[in-house]
Amino acid sequence: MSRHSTTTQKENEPLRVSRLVKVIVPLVFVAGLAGYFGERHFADRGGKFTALSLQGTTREYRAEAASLRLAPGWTWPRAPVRRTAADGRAVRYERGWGTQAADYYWYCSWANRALDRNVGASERRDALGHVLDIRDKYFFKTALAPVSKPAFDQVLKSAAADDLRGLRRDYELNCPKTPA
Amino acid sequence: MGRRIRARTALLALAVVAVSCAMVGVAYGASNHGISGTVYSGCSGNGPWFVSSTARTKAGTGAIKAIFTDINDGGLTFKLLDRNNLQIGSQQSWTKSQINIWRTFASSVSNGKVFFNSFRDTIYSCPDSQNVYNFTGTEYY
Repeated sequence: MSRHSTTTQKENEPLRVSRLVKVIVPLVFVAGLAGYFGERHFADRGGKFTALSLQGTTREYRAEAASLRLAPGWTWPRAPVRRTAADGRAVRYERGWGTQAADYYWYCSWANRALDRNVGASERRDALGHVLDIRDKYFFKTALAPVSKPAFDQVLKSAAADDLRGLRRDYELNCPKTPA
Repeated sequence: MGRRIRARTALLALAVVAVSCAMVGVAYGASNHGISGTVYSGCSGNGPWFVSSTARTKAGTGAIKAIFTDINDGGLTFKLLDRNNLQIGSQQSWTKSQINIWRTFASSVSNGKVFFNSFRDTIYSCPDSQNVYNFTGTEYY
């Protein structure tokens, strides 16, 4: 019985492999076609157009947001990625846009708290610690243009030394006026 | 003697201030930066805008403008978006032959303002008869 089972199993193996091949090969082919046309859909003819679909950009944003904790009182925007421009045309975002947007929104939430005089001193210090952590995020490390880094870094250095004027200015210039 | 020392001190202070101002000018003054990109050439979205993920900050309050040495076949329409996806100033367009022409998006942008470049093919159509989708130029900010 045991031998029979073993034999049957061995005989069946090539059949299983054959079935697997029959299933996998078409799947790989379809996936390849989807990948090729999907890429071309958002790629230029030289392959340098690196926009994601809106869903892709939203996924980027949500994935980064999931790794970040906002300051108290702030919530993540329901629709963080704008679908159309003011002229009604569609918008496509470069890979990384969603990630950096989430980072900056997170930074804004903590900058708001660090600058809030109605918040206790220790909470403000804690908030400032989060603000300074922007240096470890995708926004600072990758998305911020190299030529723009020194000025932003100076804002952070001054804030770390208790001079919050640059941080306040950055918040007023670039952050959403109210929590979403 | 006392007067000489005071004069030297004043000169030294003046020199320090001058050097400091020069350094600030070097570090945070507006300047030219090379840019390049590729407009969308697919068949979706009626010629969508492409938004760069590179965050740039305006150095020193003043104008942001651009000039191109190579322009895609369909012509380039270009604009700036702020951190909250709002347009800064006005959009500008260049035809393929309009190389080496400066156009200003906004004449007075605040120092430290974050912005993103956004652009599209001006005469987008699908299918098109264009061959070149890339552009190269300089942006002053």
